[in-house]
Amino acid sequence: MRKRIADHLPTAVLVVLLVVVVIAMSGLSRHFLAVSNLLSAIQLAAPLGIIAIGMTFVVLIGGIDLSVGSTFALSAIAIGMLCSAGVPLALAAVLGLLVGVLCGLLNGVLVSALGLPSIVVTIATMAGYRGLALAISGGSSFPIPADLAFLGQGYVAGVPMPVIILVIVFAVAAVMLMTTPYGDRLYALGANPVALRFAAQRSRRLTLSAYVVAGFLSAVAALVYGTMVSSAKSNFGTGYELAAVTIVVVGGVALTGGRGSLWGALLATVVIALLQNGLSISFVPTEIQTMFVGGALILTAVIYRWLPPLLVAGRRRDTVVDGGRTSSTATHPATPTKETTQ
Amino acid sequence: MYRDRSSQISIAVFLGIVLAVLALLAPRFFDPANLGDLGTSVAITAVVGLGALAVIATGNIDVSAGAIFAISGVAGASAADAGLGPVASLAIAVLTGAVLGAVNGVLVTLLQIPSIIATLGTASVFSGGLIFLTDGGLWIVGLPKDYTWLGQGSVLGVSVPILFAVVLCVLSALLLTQTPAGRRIFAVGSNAEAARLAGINAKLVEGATFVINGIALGIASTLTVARLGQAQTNLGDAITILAITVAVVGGTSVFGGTGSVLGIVLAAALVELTRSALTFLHLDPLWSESLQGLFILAALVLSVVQRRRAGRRLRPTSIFRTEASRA
Repeated sequence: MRKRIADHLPTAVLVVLLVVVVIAMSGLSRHFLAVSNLLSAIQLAAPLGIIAIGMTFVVLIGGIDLSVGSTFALSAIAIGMLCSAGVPLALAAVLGLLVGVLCGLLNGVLVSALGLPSIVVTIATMAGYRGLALAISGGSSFPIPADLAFLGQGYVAGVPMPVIILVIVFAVAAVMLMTTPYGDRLYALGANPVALRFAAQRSRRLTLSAYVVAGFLSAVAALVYGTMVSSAKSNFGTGYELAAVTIVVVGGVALTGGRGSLWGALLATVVIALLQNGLSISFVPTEIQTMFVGGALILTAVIYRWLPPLLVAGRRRDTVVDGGRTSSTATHPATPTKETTQ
Repeated sequence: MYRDRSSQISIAVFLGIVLAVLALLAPRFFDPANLGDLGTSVAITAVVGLGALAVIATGNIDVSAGAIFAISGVAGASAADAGLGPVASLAIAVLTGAVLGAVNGVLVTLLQIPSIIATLGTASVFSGGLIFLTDGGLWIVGLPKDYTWLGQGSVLGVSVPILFAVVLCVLSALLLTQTPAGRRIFAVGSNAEAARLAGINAKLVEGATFVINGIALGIASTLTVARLGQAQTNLGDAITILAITVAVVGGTSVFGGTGSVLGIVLAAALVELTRSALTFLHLDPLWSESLQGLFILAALVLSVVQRRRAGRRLRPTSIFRTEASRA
């Protein structure tokens, strides 16, 4: 029963958040609810949303990838430099995606083969990849030719391409996670790696795959973003790793692994995109937006941690004492803490 | 706590190699003025690392260090700018750091939010709050002489930041190795459950390390601001990564419950020395960030090799408590 509440809670919280944000923002600005504005808000958030989908894979297996923003920058720089060097555009784009895959591969090898904690490994590669992007580009920016601009600036049936790419990536990832044995194994690895080993599954290879997905999707995001702004610079995606973790956590994916859904991550991307867009078009300064996002992160983390035990405590009281639903008196959550359940 | 000195030996050997290369290729590096300057940088970086050591040794992480550094530095500088004495300004910076650290501590221990999420959230709130309270950013220049003495002055030929660092390092080393409090920090880091059963108030210890980190950041930011003679709101931008680099390269705890002050000092020296060496060897300083990443990876790989040699079971990681207890 507790599992059920915990599984459906994020969606409920996010829908409530979404409604609150939409009502509040349409109150702040009458331009907010225009379809063109909503689409452009999601278009701008699409690269981050794509990265967050990759991050979801890693977090589901109980890891974290803080190098996604740097992988994003390195892939963008690779695409920009290759285009400037006269490499055919399609090839440059493919090689850029390959850079992302290689970055993810290195993270995955360090985490899975050496058994190192993902947080420290990816902090190291975050500095490493970003530094590499900075060093090979010399800090200057490279133009990305207009022939590729369709990916970032084009429209199909009135919908911006980045939004379409986000939806495609989401659909493919959702099918992988929800309907294939691979997805089941990822959840299993996050929920209980020891049991997975007893089931004779190759957990190292699975771990590796999650980081490769994260690296690849960071590169896809770089391709979308680079073609959106028609350039590549080594400071691209600074802070994206933290933004992606924020989205994943707000989306209700447990950092302990094994719990959460892509729907949550997508909903959280939309909520945060609309929050920032609404505040922007109402001329609320960036620093207040940052504070709102940080506050939302802490608030949802507290809700996800404390609401399920409170609800369970309330129900238990119902069945045992046959009293009213006085969950407000349940000041002492009866469920065991994280440390003891694991 | 493990008495394993091999990571410190490897850092020392690497430092020796870099120094030898510099002696051959860029003898000007050993100019007393440059060495003094380098020593001051190492000292301030080491103070930042001491705070990170405390937090990481208990199996947590603080990614809001940069924001705390910036706020406490600006708070101290504003106090000095308003005419307060250096001691009062330093106290205000330290107090600011301690309060912000306590906020992290409360979120992590009382509300039981994983430290990475809690400090990620506070990093946004703190840094956003700083820009908001300073009306879009601040640049304090022309700080009074008695305040800048904290960063630029010297006593008997030794710069004040170095003196601060030496005192703090000695105090930390005594605290960590000679007192029950230090033992508790490492005990909570190696096995929180066992520590709790042994009667240690693990939450209190964890919360305290965040406050200690805030205090260290307050001191380090004051030294930095006083040294530069000016304070800007973007003061802490590189500090978060720097703190984690120094702590991890210094051998702190990714396998739980380890870490030493000597390691922190050596790691601080390594980071600052290579940064400076790049310039002296006419290499592009743009590579320094990559090198930082490389150092962390090298330190991590080394720690794995050591543990395999020692035949210990690999048990990552203490930073995510759950991953640790699971393996």
